[in-house]
Amino acid sequence: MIIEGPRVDPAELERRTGWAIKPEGACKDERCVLLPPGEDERLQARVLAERLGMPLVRDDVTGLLCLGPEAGGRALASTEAPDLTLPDLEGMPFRLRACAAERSCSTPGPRGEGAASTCPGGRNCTPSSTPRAGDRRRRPR
Amino acid sequence: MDELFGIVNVPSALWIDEEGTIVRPPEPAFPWRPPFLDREIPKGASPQLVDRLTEAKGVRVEHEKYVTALRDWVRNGPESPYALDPDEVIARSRPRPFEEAKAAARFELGQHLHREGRADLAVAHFREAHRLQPDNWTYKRQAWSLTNPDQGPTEEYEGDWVSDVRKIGAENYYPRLEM
Repeated sequence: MIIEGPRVDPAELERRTGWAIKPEGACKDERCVLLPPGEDERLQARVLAERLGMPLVRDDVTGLLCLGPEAGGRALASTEAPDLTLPDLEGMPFRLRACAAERSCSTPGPRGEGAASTCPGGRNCTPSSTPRAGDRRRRPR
Repeated sequence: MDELFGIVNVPSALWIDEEGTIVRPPEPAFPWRPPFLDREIPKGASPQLVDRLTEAKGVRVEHEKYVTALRDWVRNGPESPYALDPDEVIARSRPRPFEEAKAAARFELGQHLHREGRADLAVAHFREAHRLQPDNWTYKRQAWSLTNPDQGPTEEYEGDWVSDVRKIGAENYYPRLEM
């Protein structure tokens, strides 16, 4: 995450890393890390780096900083896919969570049962009201 | 992709089901037999091209195994033996020691500077990313190709594709698939 000054915008931090700033500290999934008092609206990059176990590197010529990913665990800390938008086979942007969002809407079918719905981008998804046989639901840790 | 998922070479893929859950971590993902395995070395090819094509032919490619597993998952969904449980997905993803997290930051800084027109400043950060995580081929190939599209030797970098592949052996360029 590129930072142009010594402080980090919390909204950008959450968008890029998943860490949200809350009254109890910096939180991600079920974890919360205490932050020093006053660290709320604009966060000191150095403090964040220390508390969250993220490396902070600097370009000495431009003064730009970059906050790296959390160290110490695995590349995948959870099995929940991030909210990504990637180009599809036709080069059109496709939001990864579009199908999951559609599934939770459970569009009723013509005879009352669940019917396939269409995600933005034209993909068909089976609504969540019609679980597949033997569906073992996987949840993030 | 490196930072989000721990992808270190291409082609790699991970599987994400309709619920948005990752059911396989990144792994080599050739959808078919790549043409470079069968490409004949053209007459009159430069020594550099001969070296590159020769090394590429030694790369391990397991496209049949991969596609068989992928088709099984498409057919059987969560009942496929290739769709892994969450603990196994995480355990199979790459460890991220501090050096590798720092390499990701250096690489991002290098990319940013390059895009901003400061290719001269980007090189030092790319070099540091290479030093911190020498088995990350995307960091290397990206930086090399920005200077030399053939990823051959340059003044900016100590390594190049052929030399670095030879160091590890072409058969180790991609890890063996653990299906």
